[in-house]
Amino acid sequence: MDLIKPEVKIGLEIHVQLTALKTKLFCSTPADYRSREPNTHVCPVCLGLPGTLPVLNRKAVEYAVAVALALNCEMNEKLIFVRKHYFYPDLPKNYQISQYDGVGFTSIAKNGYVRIYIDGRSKIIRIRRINIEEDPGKIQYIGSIETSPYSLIDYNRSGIALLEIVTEPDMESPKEAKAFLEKLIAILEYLNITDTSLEGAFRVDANISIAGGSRVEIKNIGSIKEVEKALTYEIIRQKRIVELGGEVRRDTRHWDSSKGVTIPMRSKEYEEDYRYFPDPDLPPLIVTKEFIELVAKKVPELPDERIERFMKQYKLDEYRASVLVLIKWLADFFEETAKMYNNYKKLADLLITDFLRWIKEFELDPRNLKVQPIHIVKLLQYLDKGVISIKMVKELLPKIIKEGVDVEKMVQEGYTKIDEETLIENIVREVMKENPKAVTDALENPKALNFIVGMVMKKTRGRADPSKTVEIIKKLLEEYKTRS
Amino acid sequence: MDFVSAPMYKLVEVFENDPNLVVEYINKLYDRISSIEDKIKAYITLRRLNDIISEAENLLKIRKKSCKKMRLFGIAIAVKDNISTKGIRTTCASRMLENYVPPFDATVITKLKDEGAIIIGKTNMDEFAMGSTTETSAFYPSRNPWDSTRSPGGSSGGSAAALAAGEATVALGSDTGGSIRNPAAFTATFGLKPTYGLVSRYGLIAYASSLDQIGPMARNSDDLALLLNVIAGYDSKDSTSIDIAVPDFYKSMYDLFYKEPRLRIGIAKELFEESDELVKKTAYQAVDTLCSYHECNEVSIPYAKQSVAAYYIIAMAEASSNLARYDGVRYGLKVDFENKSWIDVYRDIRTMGYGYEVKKRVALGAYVLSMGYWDMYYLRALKFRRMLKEEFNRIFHQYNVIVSPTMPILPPKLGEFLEDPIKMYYADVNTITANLIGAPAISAPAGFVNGLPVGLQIMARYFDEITILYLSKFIEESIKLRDLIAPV
Amino acid sequence: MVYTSNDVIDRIERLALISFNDEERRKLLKELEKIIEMFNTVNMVEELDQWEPLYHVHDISLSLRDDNEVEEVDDERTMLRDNAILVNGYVKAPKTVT
Repeated sequence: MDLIKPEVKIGLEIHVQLTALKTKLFCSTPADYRSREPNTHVCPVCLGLPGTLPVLNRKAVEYAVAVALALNCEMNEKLIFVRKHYFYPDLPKNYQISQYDGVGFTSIAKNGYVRIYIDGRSKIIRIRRINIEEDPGKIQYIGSIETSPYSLIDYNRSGIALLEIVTEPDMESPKEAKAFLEKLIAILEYLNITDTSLEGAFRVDANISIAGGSRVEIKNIGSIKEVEKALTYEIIRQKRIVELGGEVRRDTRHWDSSKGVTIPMRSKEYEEDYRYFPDPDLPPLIVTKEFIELVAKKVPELPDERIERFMKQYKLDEYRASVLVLIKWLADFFEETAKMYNNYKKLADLLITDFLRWIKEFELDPRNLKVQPIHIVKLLQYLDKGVISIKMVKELLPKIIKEGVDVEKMVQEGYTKIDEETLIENIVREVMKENPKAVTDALENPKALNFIVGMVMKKTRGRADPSKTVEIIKKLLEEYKTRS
Repeated sequence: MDFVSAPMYKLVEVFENDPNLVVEYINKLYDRISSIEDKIKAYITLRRLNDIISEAENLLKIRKKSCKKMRLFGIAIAVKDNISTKGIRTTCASRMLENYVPPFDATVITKLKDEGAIIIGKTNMDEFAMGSTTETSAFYPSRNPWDSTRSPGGSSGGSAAALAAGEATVALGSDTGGSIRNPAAFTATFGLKPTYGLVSRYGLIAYASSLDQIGPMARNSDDLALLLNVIAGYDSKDSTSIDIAVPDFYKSMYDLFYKEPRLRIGIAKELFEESDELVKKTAYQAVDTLCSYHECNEVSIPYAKQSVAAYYIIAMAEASSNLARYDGVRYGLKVDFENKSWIDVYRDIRTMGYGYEVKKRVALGAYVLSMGYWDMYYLRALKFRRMLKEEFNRIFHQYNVIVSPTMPILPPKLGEFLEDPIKMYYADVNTITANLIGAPAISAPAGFVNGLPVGLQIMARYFDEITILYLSKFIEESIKLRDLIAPV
Repeated sequence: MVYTSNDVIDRIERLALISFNDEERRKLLKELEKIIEMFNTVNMVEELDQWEPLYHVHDISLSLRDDNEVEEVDDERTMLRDNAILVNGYVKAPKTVT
C-alpha cells in the first residue's frame, strides 16, 4: 500500500551508433566491424598510434544535424570537439574525442523535444543536448570478468561514430521511458542513419530518482525492454529503502538482466576528473545555415508528420496512426495496401493486431516478407463480400503471412463460408448424435452449447458461419426439449 | 669534392650529372660518422651502411626507369627521433618507446622518400621533446661539436650536432618552444620553424599539438629552402594543416635576394637587453649587417617573461594529454602483467618509461587542466595567447620582421641546466613567442664568442617564410658563416 | 603564500597515473613552488579577462572528409603485430577488475 506517491523522475542518456556510415568518425577505416576477425578493421588513427591525427567525417556531421532537426533542437553555430580523459584499455588514446557543455564549449545541438503519445494524451520530453563522439574498442575476458588473468581487446569498434542524446528528467514512469525510446528509435529509423537492431548499436544509461531523492544512474542497458524492466526494478528498490526510513544514495549501478536486479558498480580507484579541454588537433567547425539547409532538404517525412498525415489522409485516430507510424515498415505496408483498399480503419486494425502478432511469432524479417499488400487487400475484400467469415480471416492469415499464399487460390480450394442452413443443420445433427452427453449438458446449461459449436467448427474446419451455427443448435435443442 | 661538407644544393647538381656518385657520397659520410659519432652521440638509430647502399642502388634503378625528377635524389637526411619512420625504430629518446617501430611513415617522410632522399638515421633529442639541451634523453646526451663539454641545445640537439659535425647533409627537427632554433643557434647551423600549419604534423609524435611544427635544419639558407619546398604543403591527414598555395621557397628567396627590397626590421628591445653581454654583442654584429641596408628600429616586445609562463602552462597541459596514451598495451614498454590490475600496470609502466622531466610536465599539465585549476591557469594562458597574437599583429603591421638573439645565453655546459630547471625554462624567452602566435622564425649563425656559436633569430608574419629566407641569405652573404663543420 | 605540498603531488600522481620516487619527490617539491610562481605571473597581467581564449592559432573552420573507405582491411594485423602482444588476434591487456 502506497502511503506516499513517489514523484519519479527519469532521464535518459542514449548512445546510438551511426551504422549507416561507411567509415569511422575520424578515419577512413571501414565501419562494418561486426563479425569480423578482431583487430582487422583498424588503422594508425583509430589505434591512437603516436603521431596520428583525427580527420572528421562529413556525413557524420550531416547525420547529427539531421537528428538535431528531427528532435527540434537549437543548432549551435560552432562545433567544438573536446578531449575527455580517462584511462582504460579499450580507449586507445586514453581520452575520448567528444563535446562538452560548459563555458565556451558547444554540443552540436541543444534544447529540443520529442512528443510521445501515452495513455491517450500527448507529452513532451525535452532533449538537453546531442553530442558526436567516438566509440572505444571492445574488451573480452578469459572466462568471467572477475577471474580473467588479463583482458583481450578488439579495436575494430574503436573510432566508430556515436551520437549521444541526453534528455531532461521529464519521464515519470518506465512506461513513459519506453514510449520515448520507441519514438526516438522510430525517428532515427526514418532518418535512415542507423539500424538499432544491430548488436551494440543502441545503448541506454538511465537516471532515476524518486520523491526528490538522490539520482541513481543505471549504465549500459541494451534494449528498450530491458530499460523498462530495469527502471521498474529500481523504483521498487528505491521505494523500499525510503519506506524503511533510509535514504537513497547517489549511485552508479549496472543492470543484470539475467538476475533482474541492479547492482552497484565497482567504484573507481582514481579520481574521475575528465580534464576536458578543446582538442588542439581539431579546429572548430562552423556549421553554416547553408549546410543545415542542405541537410534539412534531405530529411524525409518524420514520424510526427506522418502521424498527422495518417490522421488526415486516412481518417485514423491518433492512437492507430501512432502505432502504425512508430513501426516504419508496418506503416509502409499500410500505405501500399491503402492504395488498393479504402476501409482504412479495418485495415489498420488488422495490421496492428493479428498481422503484427503473426510476424513477431514467426520471427519474420520485415524486410523480406513473402506476404504482399495485395494479399491482404484480397483477404479483406473477400471478407467484405461475405465469401469468408472473420474467423476464417484469422485462420487464413498466418498461412498467408508465412507463405504468401493467395487467398483467391485458397477460396477456390473450398475455403468458403458454409452458409447453407441445411448443410450446417446436417452437421449439427451429426455432432449431436455423436455426443449425447453434450446435448444433455447443453439442455441444462446454455453455456455448454459452446462445446457443440466447437465440434461443428472442427468438422467444418472453421468454415461454418458461427452465428448461424448457434442459431441452428438452439433450434435443434428446442426440438430435443419438446421431443423428450 | 668533399662529400661530407658539401651543401645539398651542390650535391643535387652533382648527382644530376653523375647519379652513381651517390654511393661514394654515402660511404664517405659513413666514414665520417664512424670516426666521430662516439664523441658526438648525435644518433639514436643509425641505419646499417649495407641497407643504405641497397636503398641508394634501388633509387638509381628507379631514376633510370622513371622520368620524374627527384629533387633530393640521393641526399642523406638525419631525422629527429620523434618523427615516425616506417620500419625504423622511433623512440622519442624515451624508454617508453625504446623498441617502438611505427607501421607507417610521417607525411614529411613520405614526401622526402618520394623525392629520392635517403634517411640514414634517427637523431637524439630531449625525451618527448621536453627540454632545451638534449640532456633529458633517456639514452645519453649529445655533445656540441664546437665544445664537447657543452650541450648542442635542444630538443633537436641530435640533428643540429649531426649537421655541425658533418654527420648528415641536412636534417629534420621539430620545434615546440624553440627546439629547432635553439640547437641551430648553439651549433652555428640554420634552423627554421615554419608557420604553424605549413608543414604536416601527421606522424610527428606530439608533445604540444597547438605549438609543434616540423622544420628543416641545414648548414646554409639554400638547403633550408630546398628542404622546405619538399616538406611544406597541405595534408588532408592533418586537420590543422593549412590549405594554401605553397610557393617555391628557393626560387622566391633568390627572387628577393636579387631584387633586394628594403625592409622594415624591428629590433626586440627587451630580448636584446636581457641577453648575456657577449651574446648581445655578437648578435648585434649580424644585426648591423642587416641595418646597413634595411630600415631598423627598436621595438618593445610586450610580456616576454609572462609569455614563458603561458607557454609552459599550455605546453604542459597538452603534453599531459598527448602522453596519456602510453600504457604499453598497443605499443611501447612492456611489463609482465598477468593477474595485475590495469591501474597498477599503467602506473608502473608510465613511471618506469618516463624520465623525471617528462613525468613532471605530464603531472603539472594534468594539474592545470584539473577541476578548480582550469580557469586559473589554462584558460588564462589561452587568453594571454590571444592577447599576444593581437599585439604581434599590430607590430607586424609596422615591421616585416622582428630580430633578436635566438638564445639569451651561450651553449650551456652539460649538466648546468639540470640543476636549475626554472633557469632553463626562462632561457626559452626569445623563442617561445613564435610558437605561441604560430609565426615562422629562423635561427641563422651570427658569430662566435670564445669559439662558441651565437645565433640571430628572425621572426616574420604568417606564411612569410620567403622574407625570412631572404634575410637569412642576406646575412649569410655578408658574414659568410655557412657550411660550417666543427673541427671534431 | 603558494600552496605546495605532498597533497598536490599525490593528486597529480593520481590524475596522470604516474609515481614519483622519494628522491624525485624531494626535487619536485622544491621546483613546484617556483613553477607555480612562474605560472602565476600570467594571472598578474592586467585586463586579461576581456580577451577570448585562443584555442587555435589560425581562424579556420575544420575541414571535413568524405565518407569513403580508403584503408584496406588489416588482415595481417600489421598495425599491431610488431608492437603489441596478440592472443588469437586480440591485443593482450591487463585485467580491468581491481
